[in-house]
Amino acid sequence: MRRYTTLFFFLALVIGFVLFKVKYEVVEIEEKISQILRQMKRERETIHILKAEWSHLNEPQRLQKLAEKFLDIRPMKAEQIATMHHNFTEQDPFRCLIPRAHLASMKGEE
Amino acid sequence: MSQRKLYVPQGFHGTAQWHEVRSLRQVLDVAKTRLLVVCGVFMLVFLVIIGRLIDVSLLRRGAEEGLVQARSLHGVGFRADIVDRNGELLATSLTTSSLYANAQVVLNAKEAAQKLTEVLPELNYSQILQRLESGKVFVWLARHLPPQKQAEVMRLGIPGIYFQQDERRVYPHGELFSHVLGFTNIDNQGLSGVERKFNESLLSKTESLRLSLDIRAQHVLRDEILAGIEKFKAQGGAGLVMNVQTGEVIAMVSLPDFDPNQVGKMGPQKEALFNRITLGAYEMGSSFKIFNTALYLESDESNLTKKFDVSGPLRLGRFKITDFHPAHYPLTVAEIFTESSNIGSAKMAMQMGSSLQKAFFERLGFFRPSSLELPEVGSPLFPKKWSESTTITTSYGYGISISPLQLVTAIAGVVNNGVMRQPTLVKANAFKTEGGVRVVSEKTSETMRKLMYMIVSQGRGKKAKVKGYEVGGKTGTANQLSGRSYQKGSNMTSFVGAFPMSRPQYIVLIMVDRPQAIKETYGFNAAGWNAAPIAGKVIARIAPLLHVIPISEGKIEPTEKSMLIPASTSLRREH
Repeated sequence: MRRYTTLFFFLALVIGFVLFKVKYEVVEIEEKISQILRQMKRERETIHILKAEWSHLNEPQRLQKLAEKFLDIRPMKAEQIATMHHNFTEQDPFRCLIPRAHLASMKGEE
Repeated sequence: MSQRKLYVPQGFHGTAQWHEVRSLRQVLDVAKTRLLVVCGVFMLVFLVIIGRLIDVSLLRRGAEEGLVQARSLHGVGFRADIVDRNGELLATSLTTSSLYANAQVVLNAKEAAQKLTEVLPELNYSQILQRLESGKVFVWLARHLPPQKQAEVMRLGIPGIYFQQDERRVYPHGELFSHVLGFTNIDNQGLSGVERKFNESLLSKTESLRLSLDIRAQHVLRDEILAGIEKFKAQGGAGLVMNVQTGEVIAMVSLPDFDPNQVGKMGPQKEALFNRITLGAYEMGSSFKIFNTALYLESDESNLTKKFDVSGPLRLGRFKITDFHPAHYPLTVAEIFTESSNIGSAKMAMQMGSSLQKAFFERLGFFRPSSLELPEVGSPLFPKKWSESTTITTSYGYGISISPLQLVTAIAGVVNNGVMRQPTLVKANAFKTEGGVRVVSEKTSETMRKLMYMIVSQGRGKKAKVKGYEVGGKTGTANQLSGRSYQKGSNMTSFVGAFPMSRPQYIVLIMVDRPQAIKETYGFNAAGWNAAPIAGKVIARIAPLLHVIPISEGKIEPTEKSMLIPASTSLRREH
């Protein structure tokens, strides 16, 4: 009888110890989570600012000036555009599967 | 067991009652039962806890993440972004810090003001000192400080001053979108443009507002109009690009314009805030012949070949209506349009009658302001009494003042197979295709498109021609009102062109305010010399951007040669 008592007594002690350990670990993890969330918030704000700056750098006037200065490209002319007149509705010689919806839209292209 | 009596207290009564029990064994039994009951209760509780433990750790792995998501902070500003139709950022809010003070907590106001003006030199010392000594619980000291400045001010360690998270509206593209976007005040309330019209939804929703504008087309339009203003030494200009099938405004420019980032520092340049496209009311001049001719054709399609005598000027009270280039033989309805004859248009209108004309203008939306999503939309000006002189003058575009937006919307309706769509600044849902008003029949639309195509391919709009895109349009030269009479020599030229004419997708308007005659235009300043070439340049640049597939010219058959005056080689073709 005495043995069982001491056994369960020590068991209770051990469980109590484990309980407190787990509790403190949880508190630590929660602290880490809020820290990471704060970091994420800061990063999101930085991304937001960078997006605005990226948009500013993509100002068409600026790009036009840079393109004229450094690149050999010129505005596109109508003569440079060609259309592909492929008849997709016939037997498919390339053996690729074209979805029905795409075929429908191709008919309206002309 | 002896028969000893055992006294066991029973309950908590005032006077203890001692009951007799039979034996020790019974007592022990009772005690054992009680112990078992207590043990059982504890076991139950522990079972519940163990069950919950297993449940949380093994069965529901990761369910806690949902909680984390909900708690995560957004970190972005309170006012939603505005983007163009392709997602390009047009307006956004950046988080800043604003400095305020609790004057009651501040110890040494002079020292604080001194330190602050050292770190933030743009502040006024006496103003800051006054605020710090005011005794108020909340006074603003400086708004929208960058994080660097915030750190420096913190390091000063002045008691009684605090930072509040604020946000500032930033327009990355400056003047490119001034009138359309508008701007906000320092407390992020929209004051004009889209910022004002959509103020509530920008403050409440988190997703960006997607406009129908295309930044590339906007840039091309502004670039070319600016170049044109410089070339023709004009006072200003305006332009509009619209999708005729959906009514979406692709680009809208009014010059002079302003930088919405610098509105606070603008001062006397208030003229730049005026959006000519939506607020301006102008007598459009010859562009109205589109409506006059269309209405005439509505009644009878064979009217295209009907002839009118335009040899002598038309007399109306004390006014005399003349043509720029009077023809000395009768002109057909088609020729009246392509030669832009005022006398011919007036005679056509007189034959139709004022009620028919008035009803048509009503259907085209000329008697009420446009429904565009901007607060700066002006009301048109028209006479309350529609007299005979009104009928005559409005047939060639005088006597009624509408905004350029209304003009383009109506012409778009005429060329879009006769269906007029409401203009909108918000990107249209690709699946919504209803909601248009029929203003003319399909046959009339086709005929008008052919006539407008003639003007560009052979007539006064030649300089707007772009190979492969079937541009059709109409020039117009309007005089500006100065008091009760017209300002001599001062005019506003316009060109409205749609393309590709066989199946129009887009319409472009160019307006030039008081262009000068220059050497290159041989001393002429009519629309065909300035507005039309600007429009041609714009169309050439935006057509590939807007995915308009070039069509080999010739798909639209020009109307029979017999109806037209043979193209003269004279250089003095204007209007």
